[in-house]
Amino acid sequence: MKRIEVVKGEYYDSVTLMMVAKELKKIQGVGDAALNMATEANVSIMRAAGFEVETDSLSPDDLLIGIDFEGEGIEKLFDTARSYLARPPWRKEEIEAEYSPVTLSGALTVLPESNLALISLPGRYAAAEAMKALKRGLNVMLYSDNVSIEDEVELKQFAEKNDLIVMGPDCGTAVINGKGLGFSNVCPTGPIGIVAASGTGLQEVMVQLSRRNLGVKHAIGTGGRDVTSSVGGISFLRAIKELADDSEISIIVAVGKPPAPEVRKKILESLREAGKQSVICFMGDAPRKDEGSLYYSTQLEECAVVVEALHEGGDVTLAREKLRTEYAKVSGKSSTGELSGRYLRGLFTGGTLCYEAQYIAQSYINPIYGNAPLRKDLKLENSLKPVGHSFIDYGEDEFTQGRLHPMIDPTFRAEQLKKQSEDSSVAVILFDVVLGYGSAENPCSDLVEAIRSVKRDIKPVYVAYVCGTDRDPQDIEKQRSLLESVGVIVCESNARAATLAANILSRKER
Amino acid sequence: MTLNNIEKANSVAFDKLLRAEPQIVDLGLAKDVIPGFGEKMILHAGPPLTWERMSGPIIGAVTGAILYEGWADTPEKARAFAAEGNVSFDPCHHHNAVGPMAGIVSPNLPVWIIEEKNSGKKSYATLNEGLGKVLRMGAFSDEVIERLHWMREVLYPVLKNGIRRYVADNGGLNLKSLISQSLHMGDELHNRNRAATSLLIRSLVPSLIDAESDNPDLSKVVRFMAGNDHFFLNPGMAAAKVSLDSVGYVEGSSMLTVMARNGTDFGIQVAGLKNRWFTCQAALPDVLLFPGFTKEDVNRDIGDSAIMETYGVGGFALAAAPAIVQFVGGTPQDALNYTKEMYEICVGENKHFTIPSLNFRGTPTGIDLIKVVETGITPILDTGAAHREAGKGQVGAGIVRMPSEAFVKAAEAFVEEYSK
Amino acid sequence: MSFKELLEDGPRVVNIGMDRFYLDLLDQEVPAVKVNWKPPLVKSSLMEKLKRLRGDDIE
Repeated sequence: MKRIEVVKGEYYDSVTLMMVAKELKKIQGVGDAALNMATEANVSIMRAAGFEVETDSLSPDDLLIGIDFEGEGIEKLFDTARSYLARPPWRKEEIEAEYSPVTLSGALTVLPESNLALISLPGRYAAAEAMKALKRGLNVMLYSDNVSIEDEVELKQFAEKNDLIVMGPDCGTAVINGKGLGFSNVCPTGPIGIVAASGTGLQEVMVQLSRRNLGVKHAIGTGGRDVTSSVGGISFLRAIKELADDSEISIIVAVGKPPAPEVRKKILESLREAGKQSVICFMGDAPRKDEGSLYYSTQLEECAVVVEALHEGGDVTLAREKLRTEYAKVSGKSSTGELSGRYLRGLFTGGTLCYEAQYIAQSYINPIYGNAPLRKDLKLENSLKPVGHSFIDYGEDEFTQGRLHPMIDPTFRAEQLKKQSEDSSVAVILFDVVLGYGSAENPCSDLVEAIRSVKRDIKPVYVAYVCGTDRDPQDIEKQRSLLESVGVIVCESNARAATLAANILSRKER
Repeated sequence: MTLNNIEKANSVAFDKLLRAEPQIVDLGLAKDVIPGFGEKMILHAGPPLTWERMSGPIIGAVTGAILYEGWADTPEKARAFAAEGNVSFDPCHHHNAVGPMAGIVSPNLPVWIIEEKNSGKKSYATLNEGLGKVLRMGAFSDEVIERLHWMREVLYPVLKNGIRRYVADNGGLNLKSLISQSLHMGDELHNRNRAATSLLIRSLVPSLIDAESDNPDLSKVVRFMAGNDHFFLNPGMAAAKVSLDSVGYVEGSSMLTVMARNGTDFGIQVAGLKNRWFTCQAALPDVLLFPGFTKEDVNRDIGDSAIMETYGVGGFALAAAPAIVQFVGGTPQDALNYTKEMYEICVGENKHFTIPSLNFRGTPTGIDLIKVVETGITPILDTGAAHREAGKGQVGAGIVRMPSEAFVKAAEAFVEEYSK
Repeated sequence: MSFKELLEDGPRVVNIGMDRFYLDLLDQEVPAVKVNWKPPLVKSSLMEKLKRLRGDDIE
């Protein structure tokens, strides 16, 4: 039987709610459990799951607890749900015991020397809290998305006037003085400074630098809209200025999407004035020629390779060529025996990694459809029913309403992986696994379980890239071994994995 | 109204509250000393309530009061008497009085008379009967009525003479000082009053002896007080009431002057909104239950004792009484955390009431309506829970979070009032 | 603390939102405090009016 309880005026963040639901589902007899704040979208989701929700006098700040339970005593389960909310079973007792202030003011009495507010509230509340923080003299990292562009502009203009920075909205990754904020890999510190609009693009560049023993002092996130004309690159430009002024930084890297023309002009100007070498990687840009102190790249590993060459005072052109040779070798390794099926499917958690992979793959095979395709006309009608060659980004909004981001919870993507694997038309499957802070504790285990359980005469070929460093909490060697134990080919970069996967298929087609 | 004015207004209200000096000055019978006390009047805890909406504990206590007053001679007749409209009901708060749990005050019940030294304002509260089957928990058995009669005939006259002797020799009995000291002795003054009761008895006994040494009932009276750990609660509540009353109307202040519950509704009053009640359904306490009781037995939150938290003690001083937290199902760290949370919704810190475990930091005092609605944090109380059926007594005790709708209504009224 | 000071001194963070970010900061020995945030009890339009009465927008 399915039952809903409403708890008025109790707020919990979505991660906590989903983890409680997960714990409840472990209980025998519980068929389903869903906990959501009663927003319109969530009410629809709960109804779709078969729960009857009465909406009069329901507000988005009320909590809905839905439980599907066979047997007597469903009330006890609601009690259990409430006790999990009050004392989460997965939390460390000592940390929970300490007092957590309920306001920013309260927090500032506990830590008066604070200099940054890291805000990950639902979008409709995030902007107000960010402004409060700015008014108290704190810089802001705004992880939240669904913040209006008007609010973003207001926040960034206020910050600019007050010598502060707003990183975000939708900024998932940053590194300040070697310390990771949000989702970030544990990398060495060093003479590189990065300013980035993207999340996994930044993570990949840092990981590739780390592989080459190059450390990053600061990686400043700006959110995806900063370089549009409405915002004018306020944070991007301020970040460049600071990286330029920092005597410990010798190379500046700019990663992101192509900026609006007038913003691009300002960015390039300020990079030129920086008096240091810069590497620019605006994904989706047409390739450009290096000029003076500005070096261009259209791919993430390549970006790291150029930085490495600059750092060592080597020949950038040669370095690029060397990289291309290595990619050619990778494509050369692409004969793997009998292939069953015709299509390549990409299953991604990182948006920029998905984009880059599509970009690389489409020079070998196309068309490539997807839910975040390179061109509008390649958009899939139903992201859960891919056709032909398809790349799906499971971190996109359509999948993260009422569901944890796949980097945090691998379950959903693992289910899709199994489904795709059992599709006889699928020959090769490509996927990313992102490690580091914020990501799941053991991201490969669900995927490996899914692969093991696939029922098909000839399984697809699996190619993966593990985006992580040897210092990340998830133990990258263990993750790689897990994948390799079920026959996954693990590559050294997102670009290599995409190259290999595409070539395995295109060879067959040839 | 701008930052200066609201902040200033709250500052004024807060200072007035802290300057209040509540003292016991006398005792009297309700009908004789409580202003506006009508003939067949019964006062109750919480915001205004009609007979139709009363919950079990109040119905039980009203039944007991009617029997005590002799207006009916059986419980059934007593209920009929009330149902027929023969009793006029009014909140204690409308008569400068406060009562714990059902908070019933009937004409012939003896009451403490507390005076605020600076303003001369007065407040009133009945004598605490003790634990178990008592009127304030909604009990109305013969045992209850007999005890009430004993209290009127024996306890009251002796106590009155003792107090009068004390006042003649020393002036009013300073309650604020007793509260300060008991906070350093493990009390929080709502659910735990043992130290305060001991200090009160210690203050009174010499005068009681001086006044009543010839009275053979003296020893029974002293034993009665000494056997009741909550004896201080009632005068303590009256001290809080008169102190908050002395704040009066302060234009532009968002500081609360009343929080109260009647077993059906929860109500608040705000210094900048005169004596208007803002009410909503009272919380259903989710508390540690005594053996034999279940969740279904619990009545909605009840009592004027929320005045203690409004005054800056009780649940707000939980960090001073870690022992009580165990009793109510938490840990000493929980006690600290609750107190710390309350700082974030209060106007200031109370230099007269300090908490040793927080480095003698003053208790969070002066609930700020605007901070409550802004933070989403409503006050917590540390309270007893009554059985929903009349006459069955107390079923548990614990921490209860106040409901938010009353604060929302008050916030809307505040905006309306001050946006003109 | 200006942006420059943030970069020079390293982050000292007030975390408002998901707990996991706070725990990861503790792991890196970054000074941090987490806020047990709750939404306001009233609609944002009413909250704005209250804030204005209180003079919050006066700089």
